[in-house]
Amino acid sequence: MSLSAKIYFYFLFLLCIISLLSLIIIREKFSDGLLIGSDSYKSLRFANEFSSSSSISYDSLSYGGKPFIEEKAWYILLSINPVFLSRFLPFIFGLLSFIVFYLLVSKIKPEIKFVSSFLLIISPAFLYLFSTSTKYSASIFFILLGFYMFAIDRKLFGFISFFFTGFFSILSLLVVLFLFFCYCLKKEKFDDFYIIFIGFIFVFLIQFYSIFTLGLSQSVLGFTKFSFSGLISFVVFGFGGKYGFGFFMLFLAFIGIYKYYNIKLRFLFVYLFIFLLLFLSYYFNFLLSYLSFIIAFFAAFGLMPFIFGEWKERSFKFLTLLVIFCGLLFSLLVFYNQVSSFEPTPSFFEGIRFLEDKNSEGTVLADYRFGNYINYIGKKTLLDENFLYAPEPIVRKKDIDFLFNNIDINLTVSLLNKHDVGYIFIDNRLKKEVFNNEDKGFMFLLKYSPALFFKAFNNTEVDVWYNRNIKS
Amino acid sequence: MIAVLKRKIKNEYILLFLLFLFVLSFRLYFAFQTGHFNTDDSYFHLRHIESIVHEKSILVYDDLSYGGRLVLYPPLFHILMALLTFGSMFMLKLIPEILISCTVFVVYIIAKNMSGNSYAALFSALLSSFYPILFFETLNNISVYSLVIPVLFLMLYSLLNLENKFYLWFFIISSFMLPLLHSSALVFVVVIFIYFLLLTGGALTATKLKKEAVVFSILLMILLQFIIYKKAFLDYGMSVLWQNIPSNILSDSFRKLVPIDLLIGIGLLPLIFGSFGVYLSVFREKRKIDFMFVAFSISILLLIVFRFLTISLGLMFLGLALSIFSSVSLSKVYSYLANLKFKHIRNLFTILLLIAFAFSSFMPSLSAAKDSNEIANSKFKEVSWISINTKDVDTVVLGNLGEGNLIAAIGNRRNVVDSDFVLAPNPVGRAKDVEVVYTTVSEAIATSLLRKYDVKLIYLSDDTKDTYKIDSLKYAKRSKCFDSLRGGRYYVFKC
Repeated sequence: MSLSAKIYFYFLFLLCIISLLSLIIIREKFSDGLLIGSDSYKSLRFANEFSSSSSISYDSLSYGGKPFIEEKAWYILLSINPVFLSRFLPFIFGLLSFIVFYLLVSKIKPEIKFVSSFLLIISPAFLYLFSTSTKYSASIFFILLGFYMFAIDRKLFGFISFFFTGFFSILSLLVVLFLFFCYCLKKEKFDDFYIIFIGFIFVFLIQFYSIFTLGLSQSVLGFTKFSFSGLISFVVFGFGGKYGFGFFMLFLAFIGIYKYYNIKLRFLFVYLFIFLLLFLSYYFNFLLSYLSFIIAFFAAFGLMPFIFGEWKERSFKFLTLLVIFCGLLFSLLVFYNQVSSFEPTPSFFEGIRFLEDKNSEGTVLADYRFGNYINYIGKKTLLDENFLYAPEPIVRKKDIDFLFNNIDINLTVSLLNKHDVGYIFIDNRLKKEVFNNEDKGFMFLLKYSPALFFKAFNNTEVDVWYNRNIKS
Repeated sequence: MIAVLKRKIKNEYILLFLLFLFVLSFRLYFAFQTGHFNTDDSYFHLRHIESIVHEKSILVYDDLSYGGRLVLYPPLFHILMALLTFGSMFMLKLIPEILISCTVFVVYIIAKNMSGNSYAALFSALLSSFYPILFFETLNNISVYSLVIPVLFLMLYSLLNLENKFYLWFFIISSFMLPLLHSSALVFVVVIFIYFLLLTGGALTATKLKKEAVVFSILLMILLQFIIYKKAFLDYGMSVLWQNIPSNILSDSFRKLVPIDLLIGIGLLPLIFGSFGVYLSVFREKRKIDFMFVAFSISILLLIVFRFLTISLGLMFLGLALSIFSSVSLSKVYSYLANLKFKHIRNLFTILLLIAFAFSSFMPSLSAAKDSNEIANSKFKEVSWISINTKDVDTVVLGNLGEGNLIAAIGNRRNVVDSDFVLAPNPVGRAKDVEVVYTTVSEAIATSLLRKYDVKLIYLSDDTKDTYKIDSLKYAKRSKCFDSLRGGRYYVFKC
């Protein structure tokens, strides 16, 4: 690296530290130091469990109890110091991923290494990934490292790195396997693919041998309902989603893809592939964060003609660059503005903490997206996001949907008894999405059946109701 | 020869200027018939303008709308109006009428460029000034469209003439202005997409300068929309495109377009000559300016069909586009008539055209102008009564959805619901509740809803009676909780 390149790199590295660290500081200062996202609390719970016992095969809280079928490496890593590492390990992996990405781009397209690294740092998807405590922050680092090792002809280390990925996220290794398949298909040489395939089988069997006794999971995609507007909100940051890609970043990336693959309409296939990945990310959210690296690379490529291209009217060039820069900055600022209100907020967590103090044995009925918080405080959930190998997830979901829309008191009581519901956790989002902020369906029963339900806690965001008829 | 040419040019411009004066005086005649505005939306703008004039700040939190809520609206129109009028009622009536009347110049320029015939362009300008929907939406109304329409059309025209520095700078400035005026700036983005799509299929190609201009303007418009509607985008996601509008209003305003809408809204002449002009432009002429305004018409139709644009707004845009295209067909007709042996046929055709214009465009516009004034006169007095006869400024007054802004601006009292839905608290639920209060026979249901919104006075206008098909509030007749005032026009809620 030349001196100026080194200075640029250090500048970007410093920017990366500031960007990621400021997220931790904002949460610390404005959100009582709460972690971001429900997955962070799931990680924290299992890290705590791993720190007290060497192995977990059964999760007694999720869905009232179900087999624990998941990669364990992330939880084991966190278990060294769960609270501290849940906060700082994603940050460290973020920095490491940035460095490896920079080095990787230096090998592939050195002329865009600064711009692409800069665009990566300011991407909400990147910032979100490395501010939440999930296994994917480690997994993406090992994927990048693997590719970098391949780029510098250290294949052995590359394979090892990919196999490590599988211990954090087997689906990520599957993505790598697919990418290698495409690459080998083009090169018509399948040696590397076979090695990764064998590695994949090996890593899979080590971790998931128990599924041969359990059979297939009843639910794979969970309860996410597809809607086009939902997909747009999820993918394009600023349309209601928590993270995703800023409009300007996506715009530049699509230009970049066009420029990069502008031979015989190949860019159309790449567009299609990217659209497919974006669609899949709706169900497998981690893919969106992985895509942030690819999008940053192509966006940098797309920005080049705006900076170095010949423009007929200089005022348009200046103004367009200014608009793009403002657009990128705007997404970043909106993201930072949102950080303090990311779930869980202090008042939301107050409701969770309230449940922690209760000795009831029953399950907690809540929006399935909040299951990890409820499990974190040691309470059983009726339904949550960990649907793999969950007992009758579809039936439970149907029961809850019926319960929410029903005003027959006898049916409600029998359903609550069937699932042994002790507490009902209602938040503002549930009120809006299911009950349209009205006292209808189950909300009506909660409010006007004092003999059955008692409002045990409420604040601006959460109502917690106690079921007086609980069996246990 | 030169003297004749000069005189001819002068004649055209004199005629154009006379047309402008005629349109303006016609509009001003009706605008100054009353001391107030015709539509409820005017009062929304009025309150924003008054806030800038009196408080020297943009209205961000409106404590009268929905009983108090955040307001999200592009501020430029209100700022410009505040600067130009200083809140004077006279100027607030005058300036929008001048602005919308200026459309005749814009239409003339475009139509002349398209047809090459000054008189056909003049007739286009005449058609564009008198079609019913335009009068219904913009007459005696502080309407943002009175500025948006000329700016949008001139911006599209500027895009085709970027080599000229004046148009280049106008394009740059209006790229900033349009999104700061109104969200319908996104119409421009759609038009450009369709325009480039049309160009890909033909022999025409866009110049590099035009591509640069388009990239700049589209990115700028999207950025400004993101900045202005940031909170709405975050709260509603993609649904913000339907502006959080209650479903019944949505299905009403964004309903399917039927042919009769075109006939009533735009009028017969622009429809016939405009459609024929579109045909001639696309299949015979094939010039960039033709493609641009064909793209504009297609975009408007698509936006109406996919319910991103209300019928009334869509027809207003479409009427102008068809008026412009009328010049192409009229020019063809005149050149055809010129070849006929019968000398006076051109004059005869002109007379017939003017008669047809009088019956199909002018008369319906006149009727629309008269009708809109009748509505406002009675309602204005009734709402003014509220401000005089209710002591407490915090009194919540229940009116129908189309009266909310009037209650806030003229009644100076809090409303339950009004037509500004973006970021409004639960407008869908409120609109439903208002309907229940007016239509229910159960006193218990009505009183619980009135308590929910802390309503002290119910205003039962003729419009409300027509909308909900009621004569009075049935539950209020024998109730001790309600006092009926002024023959059932108002109900005081006492419990």
